[in-house]
Amino acid sequence: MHPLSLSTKNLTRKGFRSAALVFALALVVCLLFAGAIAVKSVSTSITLGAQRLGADLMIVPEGYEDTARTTLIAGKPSVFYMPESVLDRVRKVKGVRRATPQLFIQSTDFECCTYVDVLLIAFDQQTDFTIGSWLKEAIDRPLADNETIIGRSIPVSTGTTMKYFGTPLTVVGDLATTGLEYIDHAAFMTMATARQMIRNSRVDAEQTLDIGEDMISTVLVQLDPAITPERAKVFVEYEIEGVKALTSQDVIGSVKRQLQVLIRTIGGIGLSLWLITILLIGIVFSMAVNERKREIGLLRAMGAKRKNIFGMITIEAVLLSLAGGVLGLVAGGFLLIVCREPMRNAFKLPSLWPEPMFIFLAALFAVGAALVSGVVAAAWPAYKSSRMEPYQAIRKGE
Amino acid sequence: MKKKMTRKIAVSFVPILGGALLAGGVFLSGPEQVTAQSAKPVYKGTFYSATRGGHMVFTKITIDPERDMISGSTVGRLPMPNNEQADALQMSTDNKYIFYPTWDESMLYTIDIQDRLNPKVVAETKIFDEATRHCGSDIGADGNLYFSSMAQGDIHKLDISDPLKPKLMDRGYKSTYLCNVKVPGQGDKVVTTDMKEHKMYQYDAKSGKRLKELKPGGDEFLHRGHFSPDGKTIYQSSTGSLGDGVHSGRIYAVDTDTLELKDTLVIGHNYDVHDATTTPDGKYLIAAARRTPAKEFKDSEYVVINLETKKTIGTVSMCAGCHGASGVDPEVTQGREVFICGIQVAWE
Amino acid sequence: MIKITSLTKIYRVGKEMFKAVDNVSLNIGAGEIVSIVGHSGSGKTTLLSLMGGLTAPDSGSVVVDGVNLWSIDDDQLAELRNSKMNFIYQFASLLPTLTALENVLLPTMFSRRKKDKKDAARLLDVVGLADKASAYPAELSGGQQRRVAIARAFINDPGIILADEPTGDLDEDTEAEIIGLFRHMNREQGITFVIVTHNTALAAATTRTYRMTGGRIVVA
Repeated sequence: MHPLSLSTKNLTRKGFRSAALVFALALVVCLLFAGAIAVKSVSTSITLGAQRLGADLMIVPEGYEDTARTTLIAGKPSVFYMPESVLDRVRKVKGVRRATPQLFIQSTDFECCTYVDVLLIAFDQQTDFTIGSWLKEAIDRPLADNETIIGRSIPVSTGTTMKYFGTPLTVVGDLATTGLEYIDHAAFMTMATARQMIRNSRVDAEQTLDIGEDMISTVLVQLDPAITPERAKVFVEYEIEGVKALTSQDVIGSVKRQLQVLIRTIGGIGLSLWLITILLIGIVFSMAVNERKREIGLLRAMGAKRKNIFGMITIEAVLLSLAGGVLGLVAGGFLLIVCREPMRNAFKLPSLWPEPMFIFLAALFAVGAALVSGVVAAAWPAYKSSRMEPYQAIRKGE
Repeated sequence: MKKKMTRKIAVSFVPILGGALLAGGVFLSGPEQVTAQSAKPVYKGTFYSATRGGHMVFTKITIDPERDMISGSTVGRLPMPNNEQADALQMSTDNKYIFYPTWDESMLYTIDIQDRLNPKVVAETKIFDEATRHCGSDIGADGNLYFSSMAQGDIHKLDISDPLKPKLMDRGYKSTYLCNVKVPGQGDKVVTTDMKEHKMYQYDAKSGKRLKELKPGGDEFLHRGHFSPDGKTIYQSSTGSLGDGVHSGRIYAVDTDTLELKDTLVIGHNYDVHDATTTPDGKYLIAAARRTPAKEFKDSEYVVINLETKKTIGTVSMCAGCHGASGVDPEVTQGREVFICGIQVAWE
Repeated sequence: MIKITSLTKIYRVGKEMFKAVDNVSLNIGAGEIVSIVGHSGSGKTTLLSLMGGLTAPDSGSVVVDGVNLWSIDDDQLAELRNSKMNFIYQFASLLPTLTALENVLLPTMFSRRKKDKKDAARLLDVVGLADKASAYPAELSGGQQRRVAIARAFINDPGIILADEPTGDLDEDTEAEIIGLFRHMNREQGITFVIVTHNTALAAATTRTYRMTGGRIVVA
């Protein structure tokens, strides 16, 4: 007979009690696992958002900082304009290495045959350093006038010609899914196309675009590595009236703050639950060992060594913990799938799953935590019972 | 109810202001007589300090070298909008304005002090969305205003060519929890103190590189400080020992150029020194010193020291006296305490 | 086989001290069936536990097959218990979660000897419970449970069986069966039996009887 079967039989003997412990542990594991994945998802999304921006600074007209943040993070189309002259002034600011303009045009749902809520982004192919790399992946040539390359979420196939503000745009390719609504819902075109679109809208569209010839929406800036974005932001705002410079920290800052609250809440609840569970397991195991004093004495009389007794009780704890861990993981996974949408909406974020390695490590950590709590909690009762004198154990168990 | 309360406070300040006027009268007549009889100059000035109480405080002080004693007038206060607290304040080089940055709200108030005992907030500028907790301050040879930020851990440089529209123009010299900032000479160097690192740092202004550092004492908070009139010495204030709530507040005399410790002036136990400045001839040192344990005293004093004899010649209570007279017993809580920090003096 | 010299065991109850076993010396040879009789509280069970190394004496020694039980470490003592002796108790000593067969096999879990289900089944057959191998203790009568415990005591081929009131609470027929079984095992395998009892019939069936009073052997 294998010692393991003795442990499993002991656990099944007190089925309800074992189930309660498994449940408590499962709760901790579920919270730790789901919490870690949720926090990592949000954090991955926003970091990716900032990286995809590909720029150290995003310069927008003063007063539109929040709008720009929402556009970048939540992909909520919005438009704002400032004079193109800002671009030249930005280029002269200390620490600025490269600067490129972008012009945002909000599609309208009044016009026939266009697609709702598309953010049309015009970029300057000569100076661009953000979209170029994606473009290269998609079509590997510069974009011609009246051509567009679209985000993955726009349900149009390559070769289709869409018409916006009286201007035909032929789809020549689409970008890989980025998980960022801002990009996934955008259609990119050249600056010349955008200028033509503005002119066309005055003669050939149901709605006129009231955008001046020399207007742009934003300037994206790449900095000299010696200058921090925080410092360059001060330079830009000092040198140029009426603009604000957003650093990636600015962009993700507000979400990060919300994230901190989430981390603290989950962490706090998780930690308290964890401690309570350790205490609970400790108490239950002490009780169980007390009840089984005679049994332990008998086993010792039969020749069980101290380590056999210690091992038997520890194995019981390990089995309980593993069961709790696995159950917790399953529950956590289920919770994540169910809560994905609400979380997405709460954080206004594309909810990206973390890499499989992170999920694996989080699962490992959560189960490990359960295992550690089980073993730690059972260690003292196990030790105590292994040190009992067999005769006393048999007598006191009477 | 609120109106009644305001009236009550206003009424309680009447005797204080009355006292101030009376004392002012004494000042107007007294010192002239003293100067007539003495060869030594009498120092008269209006002292302004930033406080944690949501107001800037000010008082007129006379230091009489003949009798080695000081006399102060009644303390006045300028309530700050939203009861905002502050540590730093900086007077413009023409002595017309005080720049007063508030802690967590990160507002920069421009205060007109041309009417010395009747200061007025004349401009409000929002400089950051996040808390700055500016501590140290200086105006460099370039005419720009420097504030050190405890919360953000770096120095903020502001263009004050238009005092009513200060503009942030640069930032740098990062460490952990900055307090003092001094820009010596022609502005080719910057000296800071870090409260958490317990050190003074000297930087090259052009490259931003750290040139020298000094840990003048133990693990203590190095607060604000001022230059000696010749600029060769920085009088650096310090809590002295930390931890037991009772300090041995001190002022380190540090060589501006070599950043070497030249002298240590111990103000004494039960004092935690937040700033130190000198008379225009450098003969007297005035420290803004908080009495500790704070909960017991709820007060800060200007402590005047004769730098030749190294002896304290007198003190002026800047918090408790006024609070007592107006029946205010402020609660000492974390982050909201009773003391003054920065000193700026408009000498006459 | 078992040599006991000046064995004393003292219990402390509050400030009171009482000698459960008081300066007992005796020798039990291999293949003997020895009984220890006496009233309740006379120290019989404690003496048996001292012989089996289940509790440490305050003074004196117990030497089993030339090994002083209290000169070896706990692991060695456990091994010795496992290989050389086994116990039979008056109380229900089966693990309720295991079947009769598994209970019989229990001592082999801590043993190096290779014993399998066949050996256990054979022993169950010897005690007349071949058909109850897969029954749980709760499904067995008191007498049957005792017989399973006896079968268990023999699984590791011990040289010594220490039995504490092995026929207590049992009807006369079962008692006679068990006495017969002990004699059989003693005859066939040369097992030494030390039986604590106040059952005169059982005592009469042994080769030697010791009487204990107040922790001392009074009649040998």
